Parts: sequence; structure tokens; C-alpha cells
Amino acid sequence: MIEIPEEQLMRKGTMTKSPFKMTFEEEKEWQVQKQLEARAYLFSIGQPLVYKKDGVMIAEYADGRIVPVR
Amino acid sequence: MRFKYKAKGFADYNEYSIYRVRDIIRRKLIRNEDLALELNLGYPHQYEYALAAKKFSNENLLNVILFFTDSLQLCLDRAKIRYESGLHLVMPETVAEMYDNTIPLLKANFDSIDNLNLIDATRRNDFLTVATYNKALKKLQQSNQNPDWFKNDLKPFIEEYLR
Repeated sequence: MIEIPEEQLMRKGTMTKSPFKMTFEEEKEWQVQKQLEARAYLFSIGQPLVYKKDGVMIAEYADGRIVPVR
Repeated sequence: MRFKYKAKGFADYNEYSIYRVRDIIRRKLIRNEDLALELNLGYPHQYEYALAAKKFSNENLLNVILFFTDSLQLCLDRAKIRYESGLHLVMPETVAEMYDNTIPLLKANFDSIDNLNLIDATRRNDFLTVATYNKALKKLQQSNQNPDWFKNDLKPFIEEYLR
């Protein structure tokens, strides 16, 4: 078997400051940024974003479709 | 990681990926590099990776960012849709078991945690931090988010712990 190189198993992070040392404003900005990145990542691998909106569970897809989960 | 080994045809992909994770962590610890693990915290063995890394040196700090929700159904829905969209299947019983274990395991391992950031992962486009805890400063800082899993369970536990 051929071993998988470490760089394919671990990702180098992009954070420059620990969230535990952030001010409230920095932490808020960090979360908004991460939510956008998570959304883009899920869409890039063909997965929807599933979350609760106005009391309803929905799945949001890359093509813009928003489908109630149940 | 185990799915990558499975795709490569490793028959013992489960055991081998556990070995590989431990080996990568060990080498990072020897080089004294910061590292982050993204993992479920629903089974004791998942804590073991983090606890073993912390124990490697007295100076190591364990910072936990925990994403949780009051809705088990949200976890089940996410797992189901992930599978239907082409990724791996996690059985509903396993999702429920990990969900039920998460807060009790966090409490059981609380003594080892230096910094804790609790995030409610139910909605989006919100400021989601519920609370932060710092062991050295003996401080629990709360936002105005108040999900039941924090309010009725972790909050009284941490307040008691700090007393």
C-alpha cells in the first residue's frame, strides 16, 4: 500500500489570532468569515448547508435551491 | 481520514487511520508546533487524542471550541442529507449516542480544558458564541445566547466548578 502524504491528511490553518484572545468585534468578524467559508466549502463538495430558519429546518444548495428538510 | 484510507484500499483503514493520527500528532508535539484537531467529542476515545497531546508537556494548553445544539433532529437531518448528497453514512443510532454523550463527556474531561468556547450551531448569520471559559482566570463569560444545553446543564456545572 502506498502511504498518503501528511499534507494530504492535515490542512495548514489560516488563523493569525486565537479566538480566545480576540475582542468581541474580532470574534464576531471571525465567525461571520468562517460561516461564509464553511458555506463555500460545503457547496464546493456538492453538499448543502442545513440549518434552522424561522423555526423550519432547511437545506440550502449551491444552485440557490432552498428545500425544507421535513 | 479513515475514508481516504478506505478509498486507497487499506483493509484495516479504521485501525490504520487511528495509528496515523497518533503518529502525526506525536511528530508535531516533538517539533513543538501548535495543532488543531477537528473531531466529534461524542466518544471517550475522541478525547484521548486531545488529552494525550496535552499530557506530552506540562506547558501544553488544551483549547476546545465546542459546536452544539439543542436539536438532535438537526444532527440527524444533517447526517442524512450528507449521505444523500454523496458522502459517508453515520447511522442515526450513532448520531444520537454521540449527541447524548457530548455534554457528559465534556464535564468528565473539564479539568483538562484550559480554554473553552461554546458555540450554538443551530442557525446561521448570527453571532453564535454562547460562552467562553478560561481556567487560569477562573472566568466564565456569557453572551446573550442562552440555549437549553448551556442554561440548564453546562452553566450550572461550570459555576459550581468555579466555586
